[in-house]
Amino acid sequence: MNNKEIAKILITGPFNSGKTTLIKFVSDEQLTGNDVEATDELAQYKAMTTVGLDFGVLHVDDDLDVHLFGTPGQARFNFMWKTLSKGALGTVFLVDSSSQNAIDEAKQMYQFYSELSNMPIIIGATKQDLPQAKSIQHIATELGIDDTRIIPSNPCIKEDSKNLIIALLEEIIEKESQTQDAAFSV
Amino acid sequence: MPKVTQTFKQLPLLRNILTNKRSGSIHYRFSSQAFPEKINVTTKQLSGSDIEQQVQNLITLPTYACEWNSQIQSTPGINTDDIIPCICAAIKKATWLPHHALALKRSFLKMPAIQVDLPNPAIKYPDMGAYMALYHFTKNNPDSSPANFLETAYEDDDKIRYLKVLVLVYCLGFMSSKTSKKESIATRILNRIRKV
Repeated sequence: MNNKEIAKILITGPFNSGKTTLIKFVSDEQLTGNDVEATDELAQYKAMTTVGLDFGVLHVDDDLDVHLFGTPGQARFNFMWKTLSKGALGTVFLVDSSSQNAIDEAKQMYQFYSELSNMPIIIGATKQDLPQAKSIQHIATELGIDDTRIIPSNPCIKEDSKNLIIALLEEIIEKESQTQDAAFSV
Repeated sequence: MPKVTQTFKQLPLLRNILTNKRSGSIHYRFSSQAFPEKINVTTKQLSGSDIEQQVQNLITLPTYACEWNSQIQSTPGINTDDIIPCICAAIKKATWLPHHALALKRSFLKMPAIQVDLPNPAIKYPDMGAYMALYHFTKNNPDSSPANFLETAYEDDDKIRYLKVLVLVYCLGFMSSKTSKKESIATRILNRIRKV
């Protein structure tokens, strides 16, 4: 009987922010959600979009697997966010830098995830290479956070995808190893 | 008027003195005070009622500024058995304004997973029920943090009792951080993902 331990990491962010691609690069196995033709106002941005879940598995060792859940970006799936976040180690939050609409949507999503019982979150700003991309400072201001907490990232580059997960894991480790005394610092 | 940052930074200093079993002094200033005060923790002064009141103030009031005076650290060590009753009594009588209790609670919410020692026989803390609840909770839930423990309090009275017992075990050094399961798992994943 296989008694492997399962850890969970969420990859989230609004529509078209690069979640599916990131999961592809950091998983040993990937079960892609159903890519369907985007409809309504989304179709002008992306021909295909994920409905349902993206899911990847990374085999860590004989006793541990990581399940990577890509949460649906569309706001109409927000009922799933809370369920999926239960028991997760942390969240990689991707924001499409090239669209003010996406940044506006990210604000609402970020608010939700940042209120989840101190769950570590790393923010990746994607599509920074596009000419219309908003600056990191602009995105930080919109999300109400310090710009040092945002990492420019191109999920199409494997190393960038890895680095986001690494940054999240480092944050988890730092948070967990925080000494008791540091809790009394501002 | 600029917002004054209020913290309970004095608690790590108090704990430092108590767990190192040394005499020492904490210079502190509450936000309403113009000039700093000083608390000396020495064996000689422990029997006075004043020190109990001072400890009670340190536990209940956020400070605007506080610092540790290391100059007298080399003086003879204090006797923990002497100070435990003093701390217990101060915590027993402690009351917080709601926003001060919230500020103190916030600090405990930031703490990582802990383990708590069995009660020292010298402790005659009046609310041993809360102490044992904390002890058993951390023993039965190896990854539990003070935040998880505080979540188990449903009644308002229990919330204050649980906060007080956390202050007690923290100040006396009866709680220690542990490498949490989360940290261990994250480290294993980190090592793996670097090879992807």
